[in-house]
Amino acid sequence: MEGIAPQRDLGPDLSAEGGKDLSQLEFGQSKIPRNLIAYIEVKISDPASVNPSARMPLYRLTPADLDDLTTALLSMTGPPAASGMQKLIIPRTEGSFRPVGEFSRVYERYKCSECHQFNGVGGTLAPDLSYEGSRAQRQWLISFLKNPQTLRPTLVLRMPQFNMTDQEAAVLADYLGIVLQSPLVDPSKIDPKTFTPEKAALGKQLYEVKYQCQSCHTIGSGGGYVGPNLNNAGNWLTPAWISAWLRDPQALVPGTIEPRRSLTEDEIQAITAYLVTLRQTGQPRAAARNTNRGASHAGSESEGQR
Amino acid sequence: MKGRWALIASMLLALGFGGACARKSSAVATDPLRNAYDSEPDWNDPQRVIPLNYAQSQGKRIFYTQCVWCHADSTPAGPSNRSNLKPAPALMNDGTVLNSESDDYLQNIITLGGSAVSKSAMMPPYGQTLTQEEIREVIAYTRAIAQPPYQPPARAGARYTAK
Repeated sequence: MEGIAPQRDLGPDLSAEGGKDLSQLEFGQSKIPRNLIAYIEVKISDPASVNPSARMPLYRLTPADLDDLTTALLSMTGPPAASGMQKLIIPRTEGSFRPVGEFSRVYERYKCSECHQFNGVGGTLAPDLSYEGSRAQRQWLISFLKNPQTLRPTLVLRMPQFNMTDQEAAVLADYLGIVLQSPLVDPSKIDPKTFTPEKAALGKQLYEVKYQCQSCHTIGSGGGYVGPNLNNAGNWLTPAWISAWLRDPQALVPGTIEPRRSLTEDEIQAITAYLVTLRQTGQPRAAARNTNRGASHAGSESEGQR
Repeated sequence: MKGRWALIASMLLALGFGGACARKSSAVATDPLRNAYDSEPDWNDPQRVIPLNYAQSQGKRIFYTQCVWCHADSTPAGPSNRSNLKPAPALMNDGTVLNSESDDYLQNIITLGGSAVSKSAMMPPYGQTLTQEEIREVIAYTRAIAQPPYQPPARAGARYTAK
């Protein structure tokens, strides 16, 4: 029985008695109904009737005690039986990421984790979003969620457009910004107010002449397309992320192909100052049309509910 | 006379068996693809498959992660970034350019970047991204796929004399 060490030459283990199959029971010559309840009752009250050679003593039990004992034995079903097929199933490891609140509803609705990773949970098709709150600005996240534009022209796979409402996009962006933060990116260490035009000009020099980042990144209409397009970097990335990224890209995204350079702290500040000046204003025409359509669609839906 | 025939017959038999055995074992020994860790089709002639040893296969993996975007004409993601760059980077199998450069020079340009050896600064330094061992493996890979084929320097110790 559970909690009691088995002893030799004494009664058999009863921890799985309640889960026994009829084929495992010895009814002998007795005339009792062939079921488990009757078997247990008779075995306890009159052991010799089902097995004449049993050494179990004959207890004088009241009907109430007999009932209680039978019930207790029936409850002992032992460990869950594992068939050969069940043994092949690998149990799913529970990740540490548990979305909560309104975010979890939107997250479940659009199945974000099918493609994106969140702290080790999710697919590998799309970028890991564990630190997205440190990387992207809230306003950019909202407009991206409503109308995903590609950042890397060579990628074939695209994020689908979900036609989500403003409110859903705001919920996602707020959650990303508050919860999914990298400990390596500290916004308090960098002050955008110190970014003077002179600093930005120096950063532009470093970008274009000393480090020639344009071999992989596009600004304006020129440059390479190995890395993401930086035309909208000022609206997209947070200054803290840019500087942390320039310091050590692999620390933020392991395995990224951006090479780690030995930049001085002043150079990092200057290049960050330059990149935050890069802003694209005005929505693309397709995006504007889509948001209008989304708004009118939501309107008709609420009308239907009324 | 009888003895001579028997001798000739036994010699022929031995020759026949020996020849067959030799042919079989040489077929195993001379097919280098059987013992290779990985292989790479010749970029200019896809019919010819080049066997790679362990270091070269590691170099191939690193090449297709880091270098392929600018040092090849086609990439796993489609078109190459090479056409955007001026001066155009060398193709990694271009023996006419790379065979005349020493391993040490290639190690330097990958570790320190193009600007350190008065070449285009568009080549970034990889000294902090890859280890020296990984860079050596990339060089071993470029030597393996070089076209025309790379001939190592005749004197093995030559690279240590330039101190």
